[in-house]
Amino acid sequence: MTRGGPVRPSTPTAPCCPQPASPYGRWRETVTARVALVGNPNVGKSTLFNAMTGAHQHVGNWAGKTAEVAVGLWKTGADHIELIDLPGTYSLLPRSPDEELVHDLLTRATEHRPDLVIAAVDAANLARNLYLQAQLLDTGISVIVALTMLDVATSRQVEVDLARLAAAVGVPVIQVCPRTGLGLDRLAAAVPAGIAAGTGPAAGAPPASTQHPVVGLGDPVEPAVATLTEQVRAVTGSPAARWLALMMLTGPEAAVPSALAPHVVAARATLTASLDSVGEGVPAEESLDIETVVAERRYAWVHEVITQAVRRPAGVRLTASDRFDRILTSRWFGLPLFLLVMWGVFTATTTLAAPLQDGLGWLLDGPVRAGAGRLLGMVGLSGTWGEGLVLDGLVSGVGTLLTFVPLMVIMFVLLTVLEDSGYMSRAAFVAEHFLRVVGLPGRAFLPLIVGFGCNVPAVAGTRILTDARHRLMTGLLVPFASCSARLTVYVLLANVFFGSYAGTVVFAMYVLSVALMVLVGLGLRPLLFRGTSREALVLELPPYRMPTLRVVAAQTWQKLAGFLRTASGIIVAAVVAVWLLAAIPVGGDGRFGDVPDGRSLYTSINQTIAPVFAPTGFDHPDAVGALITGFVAKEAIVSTFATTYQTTESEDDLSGRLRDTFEQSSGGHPGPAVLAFLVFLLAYTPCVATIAAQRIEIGTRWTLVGIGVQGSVAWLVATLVFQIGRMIA
Amino acid sequence: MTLRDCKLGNDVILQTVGGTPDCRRRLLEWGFLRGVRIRPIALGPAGGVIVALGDARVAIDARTAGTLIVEHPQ
Repeated sequence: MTRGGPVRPSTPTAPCCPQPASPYGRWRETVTARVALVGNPNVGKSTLFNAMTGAHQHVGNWAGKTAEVAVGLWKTGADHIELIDLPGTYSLLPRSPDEELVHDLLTRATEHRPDLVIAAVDAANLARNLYLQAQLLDTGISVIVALTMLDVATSRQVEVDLARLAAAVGVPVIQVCPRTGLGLDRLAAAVPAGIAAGTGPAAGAPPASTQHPVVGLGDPVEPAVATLTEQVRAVTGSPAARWLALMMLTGPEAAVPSALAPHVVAARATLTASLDSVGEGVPAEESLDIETVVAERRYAWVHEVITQAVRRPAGVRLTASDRFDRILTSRWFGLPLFLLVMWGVFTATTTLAAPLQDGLGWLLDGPVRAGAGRLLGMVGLSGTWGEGLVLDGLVSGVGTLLTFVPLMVIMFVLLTVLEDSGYMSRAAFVAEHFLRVVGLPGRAFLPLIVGFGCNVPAVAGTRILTDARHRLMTGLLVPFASCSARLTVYVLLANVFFGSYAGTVVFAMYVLSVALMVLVGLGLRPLLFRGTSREALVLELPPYRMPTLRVVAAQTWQKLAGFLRTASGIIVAAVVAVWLLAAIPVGGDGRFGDVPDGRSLYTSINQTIAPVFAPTGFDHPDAVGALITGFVAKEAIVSTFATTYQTTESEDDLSGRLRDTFEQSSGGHPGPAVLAFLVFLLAYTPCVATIAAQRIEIGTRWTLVGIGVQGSVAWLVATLVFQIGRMIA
Repeated sequence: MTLRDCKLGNDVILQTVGGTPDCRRRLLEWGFLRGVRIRPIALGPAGGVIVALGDARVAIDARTAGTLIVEHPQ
């Protein structure tokens, strides 16, 4: 579903939401209940989830959905509860894939419907949090409120009476502090009673009004809703019939299924007539409509709850955060500070990571490699293909993987700090117009900028985006950001072929990189954001907070472990595969692991593929071979040229051989051919590590689509460059 | 006047919420209702406004701010 597009109410037979892989294998059989965590963004919900589940969790895409959820095991005494951390949402009326997942899970009568919802409610921002609570009550599901941020509320002189709040809302309210774990035991103790009070997924019957409170909407809305609720229940059998009825009355018209359309049309007509009579004499622009009345009456309930349970100073009180915002988001300081922060992130992921990467590289190439060589010698494998496989395949593959670890740690720490401190929301506001042309919010700027250092942490950085479609679009655009590994190849070839113009050529590659991101973004926009108009920016700004070491360390480790688990296989396998291709002889010369120059399967594949690149002017097996190695890692291209030409000793010799290669392949137009080669290098798949990171963030299917888009764009632009260049030359 | 035209730091009363149906629905759900008191507290580089709505701080882009009709309290 697209934002603003049709919302399809569920039917009881519709297949819904198979879960991501179980995170807790052997505990599977012992799970006694399913509980979902629901709440607004920035209320400490995910920190609460981490405190409840510890290491027993798994983050992944809900099957068939782009939305990401974490599922974990919450051990409460003898009970093992499956806990689902649903994406943060301000409303149950879905507008994004994330919100659609929350909606479907809570309203569809399937085996996955939770037995209980724990609603994380921010005590420092009760009004809007309680609005979602009002909607949750309409779904008929059992709810326990976990009240967070009480320390922030207290610092603002807001006093919340928990007992009165529970009485006013009609559900248990437990104070929790996700960062310290305070209150988790009381929350666990409240779960069995909460589940017992609920309807459960199988019951499907309306909750008894004495057990389950709902927010009354008064005349004339309530009678109309009650009638429609019965009709919805009769047709869909949904346990959330009241919510569905309200959604059909107040949501987009496309939300109404055809079987219920006559009932909804009749209810809307009756209600509109009643409201018109209520609003008689009111100017047209202030006339009442169903959506406004329902929102107003829910908020009337919210304010009644707050009046009963909360003591607070009157009026708006400006906080230190507000005073910071007057400066940090202002016309004069907002953009410079934003650019400074982006520069800081970029520098940290490039300069700061480099010595650590070099150190790991030295460790792998030196002591580890030597040690492995000695071990192989002791078992009699010295000089055999087994030694090649272990040293040049496995050790080299693990080395490639490990060099990304410092980068990823730095990226994940910075992401958590920026998000936890509250700055990321300000960045989104300050830079909101930057990426509007491709339909992305301002915070997408961060991964795209980081991409110019390295695409791998940049793709991981897309998780800073709250909307799954924005993550997808950014994850597909990041590979077009020209990373520093590509720069080494630009510099080598530009110096060989363009002499004093080398700097201009390299600069042009960066300009082209930005242009490709914009053009591909414009091309993808109608596909990913189909049927949506320009999206308004309405963004909550959480108060500035000092990030805690504990949260930063826990989240960094969780993200890094996820990266290593998923990426290690792909990266090591790709490096080993290239070694194997080079080790397999063709044409009867040599033997496995000892192939004469130019007689391996690798060379044979290069020769087979080369004609595809005839229109680009670099259909030479040596050039194509470098691109195939570059698919594994761009850093390897220069060394591939050097190995191919066996010219490690002399740079002049390498230049000469490169000139010969492009002279031959281009029919005497080496300049345009090299430019085309550089353009292809810029636009095609950056490396297997990026593919691995993309697979984690946007899923296998979209990663494959991305590889296809990059390859097609690279070939097309390279062909254009060569053909036009040849004509001009 | 619209929210874009307000002086920073002074409370205003929201009169009507405009914009696209989807945007309007979202603003209603966030509590931007008729008669609500809001205070613009900061301006962004692109003309957006940060407002205080009760305890919440909400950033609104310039175009959307232009669809919120407000008036000074009586």
